[in-house]
Amino acid sequence: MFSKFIKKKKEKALKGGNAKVQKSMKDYSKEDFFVKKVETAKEVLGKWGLPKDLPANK
Amino acid sequence: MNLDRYDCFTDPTFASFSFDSVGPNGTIKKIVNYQPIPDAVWPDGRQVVNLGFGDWNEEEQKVDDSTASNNQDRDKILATVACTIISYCEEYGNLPIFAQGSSPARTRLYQMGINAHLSEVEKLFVIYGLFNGSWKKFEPGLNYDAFLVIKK
Repeated sequence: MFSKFIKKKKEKALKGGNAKVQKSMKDYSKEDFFVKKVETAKEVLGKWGLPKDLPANK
Repeated sequence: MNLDRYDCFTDPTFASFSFDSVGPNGTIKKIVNYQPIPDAVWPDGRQVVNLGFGDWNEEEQKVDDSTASNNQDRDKILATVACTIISYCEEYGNLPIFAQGSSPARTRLYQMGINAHLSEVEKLFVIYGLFNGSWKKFEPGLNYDAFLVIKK
């Protein structure tokens, strides 16, 4: 029983992102730096597209 | 990820994450941001998302990546960024995530981090690299221009 609990906990630690939500934290999406990065990404993907064999959504 | 990583925090929308890099050059606040890339939608409807990564410049009150922090914690930082991908995907689903450094040197730095822990990384993610204008499954030894990461 205990070993099952340990195993489950270990699996969670390996798989989980574990980021903690902070209500007071701001979203930085409107920062110029990130806005420019998105524009660059759009240009790159517009030019080269996406992989042809992207794995199916699970 | 079974790698050492920093505690990280997210805003309530899971669009931005922050954590502190601690090392010989002090404490540097790192910001990871996820935003949909306009017009980049996979045929099955999945939105492609950009991963932006920079330092919070306290003096100028803005994000940038103009300085190399040299805090000797590259792998810990990359493991923490990987954890933000997992957190983001737990919230929004397994969306393809595009990542590119601000310079070829920075993109190479990401690549070295992936290479160093490839067996760990491949357990959790499928990674493609943009090489000479075409996307290939990531393999060591090639210098890629950008990456596309999909959580398994």
